[in-house]
Amino acid sequence: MKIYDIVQWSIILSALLLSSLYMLGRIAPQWRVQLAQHLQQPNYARWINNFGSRIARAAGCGSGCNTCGTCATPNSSNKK
Amino acid sequence: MNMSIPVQRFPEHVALVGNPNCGKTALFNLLTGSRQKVANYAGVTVERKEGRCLVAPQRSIRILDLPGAYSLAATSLDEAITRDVCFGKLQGEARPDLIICVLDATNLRLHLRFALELRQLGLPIIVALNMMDAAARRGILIDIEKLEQALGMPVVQTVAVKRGGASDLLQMLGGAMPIPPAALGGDIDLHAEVRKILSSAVIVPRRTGAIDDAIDRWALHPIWGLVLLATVMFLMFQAVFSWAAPFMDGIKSLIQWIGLSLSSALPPGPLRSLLVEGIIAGVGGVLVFLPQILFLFLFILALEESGYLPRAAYLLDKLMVGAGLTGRSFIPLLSGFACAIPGIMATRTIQNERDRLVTILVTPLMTCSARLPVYALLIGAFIPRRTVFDIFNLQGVVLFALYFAGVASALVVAWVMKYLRRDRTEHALLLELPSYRIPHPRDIAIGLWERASIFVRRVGTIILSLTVLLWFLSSYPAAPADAIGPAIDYSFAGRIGHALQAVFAPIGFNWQICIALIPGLAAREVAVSSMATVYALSAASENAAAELAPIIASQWSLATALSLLAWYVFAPQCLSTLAVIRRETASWRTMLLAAAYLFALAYAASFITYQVASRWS
Repeated sequence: MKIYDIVQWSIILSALLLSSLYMLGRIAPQWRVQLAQHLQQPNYARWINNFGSRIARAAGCGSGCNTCGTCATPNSSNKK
Repeated sequence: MNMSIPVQRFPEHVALVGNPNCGKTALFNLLTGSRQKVANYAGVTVERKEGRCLVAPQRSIRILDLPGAYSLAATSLDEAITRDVCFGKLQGEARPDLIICVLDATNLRLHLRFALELRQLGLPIIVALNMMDAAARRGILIDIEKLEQALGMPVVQTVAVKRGGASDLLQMLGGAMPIPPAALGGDIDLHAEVRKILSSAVIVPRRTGAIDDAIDRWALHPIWGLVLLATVMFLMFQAVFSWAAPFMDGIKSLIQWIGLSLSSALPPGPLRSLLVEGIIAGVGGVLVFLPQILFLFLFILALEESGYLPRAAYLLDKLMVGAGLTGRSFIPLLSGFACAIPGIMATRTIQNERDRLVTILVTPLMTCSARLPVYALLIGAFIPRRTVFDIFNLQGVVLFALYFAGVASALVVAWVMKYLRRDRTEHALLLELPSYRIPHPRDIAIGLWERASIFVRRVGTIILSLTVLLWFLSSYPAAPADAIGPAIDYSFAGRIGHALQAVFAPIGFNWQICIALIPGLAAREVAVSSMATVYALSAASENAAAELAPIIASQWSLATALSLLAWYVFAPQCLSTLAVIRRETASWRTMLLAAAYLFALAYAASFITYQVASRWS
């Protein structure tokens, strides 16, 4: 396998993984949190734990929206 | 000797309260550096917002921005939030230790009553006399010392829309807390008390509202007012197409150049396909509509700032009551033009539960900005760019008609719901008409920046993610060596599209449209990026982002295009909207009802449109 193929498939797989995780966080935030908790178990490698903590943040307010401009800006938070 | 020294208490947790449209959120933004939405009408804030404000070196306080309330005796859901926070009864929210009561200095006759009512809380209160610049312009003179004495609370002057307009308030927040005012006796007539305070501390010139009255004679006229409203709306949609065209062409050329550069730089293979036929075609195909969205919001923001919108609500009240809605539904429905979600949340200002439910159910029929790329794509592809009567842009006329169809269908649905229910009582509209204000360019610029950020963020997150996933589903499994048709026919997406076509064939949708409808459930404009990706993969075109409109113009019939437009006037293709309906009504049944009736309406409208257009064309 040529180096170019390795690079191109690494990019494609990363893009697919990140896109899937993003959509999971929007459509089913609880599932993403569960996945994150699973990845943070101590019997996994440290990099998997780190990855789990990175994706632990649930998406928006849970409605899967975060698009309308009424959600919090970085300077403020918005709870119901 | 053991002496007890009184300890100075400093505020840590402060709540901003006041009547609607007194500038609480503008003050909150000024104090905390936030950018929460502000507008010149009541009911913009419907839930609590929180931020931090640095009041002294190393010391910050927590500030809550609460929905506007006319009284602590709440009559609507948003007022109930304010009441519960003030009394410390909102679950998970500590009672504030200081209240900032924001008063509109130009309208003290109305706002002072609430300030007096707040005395019963037993909390320290600072009165922020906001809009002092507007009061000065109108010649309103306020004796601050006398007002402080009469209210029993410290009073500071603020101009929330100007930088540094809250410096006195910040200074006071950095110091010790004021003494809580004594509660007024239960038998005191608050209106009489307000009149007494006004006569001693405030001088209002007689003709303070002369300009407003002169404008209102035309703007609120039963005939000319409606003509003016229709003209404003019509011009808005004309401008969306006419003014945005050069900017759109610029973005299109840039996307085309990026696509061609990548095509020539990368060897053929899956990475090039992902970047050129997937991301550039899909994301670029949506990004091109940014100028149109910004021009639409330029008008909406200017109207919001000017104070014209509550007048429009007043004008349309009779029509809305006739359709089974209330004038109070106007602001939620108007918010629905940006996005159905804030519109549905804004229904919290409607006191009557039945009116609120009807408004929630019809708000998704308002044409949200996410539908604009779909409309613009189809109009650009099928409606010629020519003028009608030598004045009007035909594409703008069609866009106006589509927005009008959304509004008209909302009224018809509300009217049907009125007939289906037993309780047909009508509720009078009580609406505060704010003073006219020349829109502040800075506020408009911030508003447009916010809209552009939201749109670009959507493009860079949800649309990009779905485009990548759709590219994969449209590319794999790869076609067999002896394949006859295009490779996409053998992919997951191609098979799903062909399977769905059986359901949507009666309304003229081809399998490519069927594929686009699925990711369109997450966000409506994704349908455009999905079609761009699907057509790019089908046609092996290297510049489908720029070519999507001519491609569909050559491959679809006019009937199919009109049918898809009709579909998007009604379609409930936004899961977030359905989730918010569920959250706001606390009812799965209502959410399913909304989804079912919108889907049925969309299918029926598309079916009729397709069948009629097929026979005519």
